[in-house]
Amino acid sequence: MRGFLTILTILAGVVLAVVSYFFMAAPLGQSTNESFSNPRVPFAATGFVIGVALVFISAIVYEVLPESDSESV
Amino acid sequence: MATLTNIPVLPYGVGRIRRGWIASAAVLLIIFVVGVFAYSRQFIHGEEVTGLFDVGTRGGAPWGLYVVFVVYFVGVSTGLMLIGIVAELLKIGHMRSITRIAEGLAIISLILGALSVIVDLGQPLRGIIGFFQYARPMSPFFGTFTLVVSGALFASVVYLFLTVRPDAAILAKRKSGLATFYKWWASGYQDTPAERARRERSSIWLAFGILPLRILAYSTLGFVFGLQVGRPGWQSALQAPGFIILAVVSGAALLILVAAAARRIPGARDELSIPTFSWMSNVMTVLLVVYLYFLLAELLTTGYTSTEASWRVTDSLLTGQYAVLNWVSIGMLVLATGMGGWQMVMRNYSLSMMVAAGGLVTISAILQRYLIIVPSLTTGALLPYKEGTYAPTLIEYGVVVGLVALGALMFLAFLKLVPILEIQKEND
Amino acid sequence: MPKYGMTIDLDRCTGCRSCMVACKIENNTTQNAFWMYVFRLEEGKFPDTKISFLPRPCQHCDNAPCVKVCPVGARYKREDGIVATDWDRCIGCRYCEVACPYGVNSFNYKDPKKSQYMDWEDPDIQVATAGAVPSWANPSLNEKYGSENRSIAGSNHIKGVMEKCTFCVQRVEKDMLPACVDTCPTHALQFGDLDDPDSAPSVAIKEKDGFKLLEDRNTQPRVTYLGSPFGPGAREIERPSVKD
Ligand code: SF4
Ligand code: SF4
Repeated sequence: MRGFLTILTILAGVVLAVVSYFFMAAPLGQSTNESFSNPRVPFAATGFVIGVALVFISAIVYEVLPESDSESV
Repeated sequence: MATLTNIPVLPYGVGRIRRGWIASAAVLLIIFVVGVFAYSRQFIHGEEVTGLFDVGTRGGAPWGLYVVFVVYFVGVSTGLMLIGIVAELLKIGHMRSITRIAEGLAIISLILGALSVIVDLGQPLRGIIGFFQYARPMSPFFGTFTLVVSGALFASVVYLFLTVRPDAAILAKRKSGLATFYKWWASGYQDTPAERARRERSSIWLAFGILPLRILAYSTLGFVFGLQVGRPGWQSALQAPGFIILAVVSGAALLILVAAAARRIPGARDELSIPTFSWMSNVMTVLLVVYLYFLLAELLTTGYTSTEASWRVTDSLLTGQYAVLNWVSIGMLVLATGMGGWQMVMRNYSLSMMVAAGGLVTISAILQRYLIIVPSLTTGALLPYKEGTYAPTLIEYGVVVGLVALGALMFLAFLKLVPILEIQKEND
Repeated sequence: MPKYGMTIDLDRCTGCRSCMVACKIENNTTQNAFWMYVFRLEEGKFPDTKISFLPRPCQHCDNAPCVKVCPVGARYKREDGIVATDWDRCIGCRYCEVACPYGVNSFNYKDPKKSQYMDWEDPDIQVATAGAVPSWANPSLNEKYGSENRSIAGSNHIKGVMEKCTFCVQRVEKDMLPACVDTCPTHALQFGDLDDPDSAPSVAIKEKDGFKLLEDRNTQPRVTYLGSPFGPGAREIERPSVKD
């Protein structure tokens, strides 16, 4: 359970960061028109930041989640 | 634990406010308020109160002291975090005692770096929202903003939270006004073997996550300058690696200064011993040699291969308007290298000498940033504009000093909340 | 969609700087700002000297370093090629100014109304003007332009934002020429659609060899200079006195 949740948090973070960087933020490449100046989804940069943060939150999930009885190290 | 009556409930002066602490905090607070006043002038009247001017026909530098300190603060933070994490990872015995100081300082200087960015903006309020709303990955600032300010700050806070957690669990059991605070921090930590094993494992994983993130993040700050086609003197492949090296050097220097001051904390003196300092001094000295080599390599490449404009920038550093500053700064670095090298060779380390070297390097590291950023703006014009000048005003100095005071205040508060040295050990 | 561009014939330019004045009047730029600037250059040693002139607007680069570095997309490239600055979004980081190889940007270090040639809000001056609207205040600068309706025209808006030559977007969108082009007495400046082979700049490019300013920086400017570039060691003869 603990391991599963940890990996889930990491994965969610990585996916969110990658998706917001490449698909939600303003497009990469040489600007040829107005669309290059706007994020495709507003506040995409915030998504990226939260994604990076989630990756590190996984460490808290891993350590702080209360022990369950069935758990071994 | 036999003499429990003699030792205070909480170690290392945590939670106890003494007169000296209040006096220093009061002085710092006054300085900070002066800084706030200086900034209020700028906020109201605009950046005309600074020494910043447009490039081109006006012959100025649009980036100045604030950007210098963005790079310095974020650099120090990067350096400190690298030192702290590497020491913890490699379990370098003598360095264990300074890791927590390093981590605390790293977080504080990162906050100062973020504030310096805000202070530099013409529209600060817009900036805070604008970054979150519009930030574009194409701009090198994207990396600086997301990775440095948010990612690295967040990662460092998580790291500190988890490393202090076992200590907090111990302190939560003692009767003090802060017991609830520590209880919250300990968040159920019981020091079971399973928890210890997890702590061990996650600290390694975190380290492996944070190290590359930090290096990447600070490199993007190097790219802010290094990728510019329009600014001779900045465009250099050495910009990013040079940034990292100078970051660790300036981090080590600041750490020496702060750790030396921290020896006055009750009970900390024995832990913060000469071997600890000598280890930091050696790191600093070795990397200083590398950095000086970088400077030389950079100089030779521009000397032999450069265009007219980038030679003009180099020339302003060697013989022109920045020559004095440049040679003083390099002289200080060489002197500090000499001092460190001498102690290394003689195997005889003196605290005051190491502190002096740390001071020299700290000042010189700030000057180095100034000398990277400003000359290229004032003397690196590609069209035949006249040579420009830049002189920071009192307002700019006031704001920067206010920021430093704010950082010191935060560190004082940190001292009263977090034991500056690990206490687990004493229970082992 | 037109592809706007400009040609500047250096052999025709007499260095009269009318364009600089026209730009100031059209765009209400502040005292320290020269969106159009004409270098008056000198090369060689007396008596073997050569004089040359170089008008320098924003080059409206296709591969613009300023557009690349703007963290919030306030500096952006329009489909018609104009490089615009949205003063409603600009956060005032000055990165675009630092990145531009041509030094064309000017930042509002203070409230631009206070750095006009006369502060019309000054009570002393209002005694004489009786609170009248400044005679030069160009109302079309406050309108919004382009497909996205953004605030990109002219100067004299708010402090703490970046401004620069807009190719007079407020005129171009109404099918007029930029003020500098309209004013130049020797027709050294031409402006129009580069995709249209009969437009003035297209014809001028066909008739005469040209070059781009600082071509080696790969900024791909939309401004083409006709004639020969200034030589190495060229220096400015004089410059307008710059004061706040
Ligand atoms: S000349 Fe400068 S401001 Fe104009 S588009 Fe090119 S880089 Fe941008
Ligand atoms: S000053 Fe404004 S337009 Fe220029 S890069 Fe910064 S936010 Fe963009």
